[in-house]
Amino acid sequence: MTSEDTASSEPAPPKISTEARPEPGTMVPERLIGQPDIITVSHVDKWFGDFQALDDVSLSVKEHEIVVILGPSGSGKSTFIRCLNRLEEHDAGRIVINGIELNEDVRNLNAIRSEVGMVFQQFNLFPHLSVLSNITLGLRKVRHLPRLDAEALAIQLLERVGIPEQAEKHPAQLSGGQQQRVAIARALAMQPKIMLFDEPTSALDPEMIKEVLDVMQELAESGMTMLVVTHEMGFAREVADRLFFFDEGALVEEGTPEHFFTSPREERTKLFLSQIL
Amino acid sequence: MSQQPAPQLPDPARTPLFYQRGFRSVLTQGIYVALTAIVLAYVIASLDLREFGFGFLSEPAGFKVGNQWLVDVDGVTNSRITMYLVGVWSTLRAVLVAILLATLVGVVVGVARLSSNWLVARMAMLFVEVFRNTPLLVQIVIWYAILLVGAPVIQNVLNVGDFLFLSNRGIAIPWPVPSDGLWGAPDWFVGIWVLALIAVGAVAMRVRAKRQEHERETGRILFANRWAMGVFAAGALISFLILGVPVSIDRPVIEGTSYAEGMLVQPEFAALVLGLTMYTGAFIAEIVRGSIQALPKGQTEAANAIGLTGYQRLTLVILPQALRQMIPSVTNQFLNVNKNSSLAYAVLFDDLFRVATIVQNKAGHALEMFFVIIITYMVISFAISAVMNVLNARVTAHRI
Ligand SMILES: Nc1ncnc2c1ncn2[C@@H]1O[C@H](COP(=O)(O)OP(=O)(O)OP(=O)(O)O)[C@@H](O)[C@H]1O
Ligand SMILES: [Mg+2]
Repeated sequence: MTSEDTASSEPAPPKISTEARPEPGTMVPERLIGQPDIITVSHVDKWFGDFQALDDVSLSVKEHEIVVILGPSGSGKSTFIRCLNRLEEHDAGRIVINGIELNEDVRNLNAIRSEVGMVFQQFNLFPHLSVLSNITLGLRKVRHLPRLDAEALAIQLLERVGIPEQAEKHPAQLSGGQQQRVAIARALAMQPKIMLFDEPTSALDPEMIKEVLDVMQELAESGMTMLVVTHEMGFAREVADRLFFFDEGALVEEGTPEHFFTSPREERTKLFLSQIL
Repeated sequence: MSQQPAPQLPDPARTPLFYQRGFRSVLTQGIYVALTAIVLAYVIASLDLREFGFGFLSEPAGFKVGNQWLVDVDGVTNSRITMYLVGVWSTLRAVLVAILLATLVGVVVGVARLSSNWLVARMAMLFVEVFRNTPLLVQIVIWYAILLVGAPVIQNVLNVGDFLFLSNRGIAIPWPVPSDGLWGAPDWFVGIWVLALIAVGAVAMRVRAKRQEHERETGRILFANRWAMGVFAAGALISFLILGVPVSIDRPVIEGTSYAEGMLVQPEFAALVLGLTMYTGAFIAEIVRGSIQALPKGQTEAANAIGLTGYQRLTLVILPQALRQMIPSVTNQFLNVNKNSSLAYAVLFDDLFRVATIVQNKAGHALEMFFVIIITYMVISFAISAVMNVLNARVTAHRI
């Protein structure tokens, strides 16, 4: 097997074994104790050709939990969260989200897409549609809501992200921060239980980062389950319940912000944090 | 506030005339005009223009023109210009039908080339490679041969439910024709009905706009689209009845060794249109594929992430964006259809070029005929470009 070959030819990166991990719940902040797991990932591998992008990733996320995912470039952060709504298909292991197994079953695929919303680094708004239509598209075509109901909901969401006056514009007429907020509203329109963010502020000018982070913080306070890939350490420190650190496709360390910023255990975590803090 | 004193500069040096931009441009244009005038003067001087004139076009034609549709000229009493216009009409028909079908074929094949289904993608690729890489003339001739030799002779006509007939004389299908109707209406009642349809359509659009406006103001659901369709259907039916049912459907029948009634798609027309459709469709397919592939991958991912199905993703997100990219290149293909339609010559389809050649054989005046031919093709091309420019302006109204 290729995996064995690579593993034996290179020094294997230190891995935290599942057994050595603290008992489930011990790392979980008080406010989430007793909450059910909404995401369970077990021994997931992902290969691109003969390159292994995810290496035996196992973790679970509780309902209403805010998770921030850290890691150097190419460590598999995007690949991991894209597996959670099946934009990528994992090659081994299991992913169960809110009781739905991510597998070949197309019914599950449809179900998962309405459970999980996603916000991309490059916004990926539909440029040919107005802001309003960007948000109502899924409501009308997937949820089959009447147009007026969909539009009313869209306006509510635009108010929530603070830009109701932009409804009739096209994405190209908005600033980056406004576009990203529309993208959040578009994802929220499908009423997901879980929101995935893949570096939502990395393409933004500094003065726009805050307006997007504020929306995300408000969302977190409203009880949404969130997985956020970001380099915004302020957000990680203040909002996250738990941090996951990825390196070379493996989940190297997990813990509360306090644990990470005061006493990280793994050498690679220390190195990474020293570089970005 | 204290102003800084403006810095002192020495007087600028004057640029010599020869290096001035304005002079340069006048000079080059002057040279161009002079050269053109010399060439034109030479051409005109060497032509024999004593006979030049277009009077010969109004003389009686004295020849027949085939492939007529909706016109009926025998060439005995008709003038040459009339016969030429019948040819123009044939060209227009072929070009229009080929453009519509080629677009359809191009979009379907272009999308199929990107299918994740291996077989579908391969079949589409094969289609493109075959039709794009062989000469159009050859394709048209082969289609003609297939239609003439491959189809049964009329004695053994292929009869599909007394509805559609296929033989080497062509394909006959039912067709609406003007009829006397309830009160012996003359044929032009159909024209009135068509005008009535346009009026009813306009009314329906108004109703739709009004209702949508009300919806926006009051927030109540007023079913604008359903109302518009209802208004149109009712208007169409009522005007149809008032005019005394001026249209009937003509079913084809076989009389001896020829078709009667119905509409006959002749093998010449079919071969030309098939050739133009497949050839151009293959090019349009590549344009469609290219503009879909040029879209950012994020568009597909965002569409997937909100749970659109593959078909919704294609029709609501991908194609609307790809279409904008495509219009300029597709316009070129449409212009090619117009120009390539002159290959009708090879299958003796009486298009404008073939009729013009016959006129020129009978009456001489080659110079005038070439002039007429070129102007006609250019006018058709300009019309196509104009329509496509309007379309382009509409879809690119929003910057993306
Ligand atoms: N579609 C793909 N085909 C081949 N390799 C891929 C593909 N997508 C990702 N990879 C590879 O997988 C590895 C992990 O990529 P991923 O995008 O998940 O990293 P990341 O942690 O999100 O990095 P970044 O911080 O730069 O976004 C990288 O080495 C990348 O080159
Ligand atoms: Mg990434």
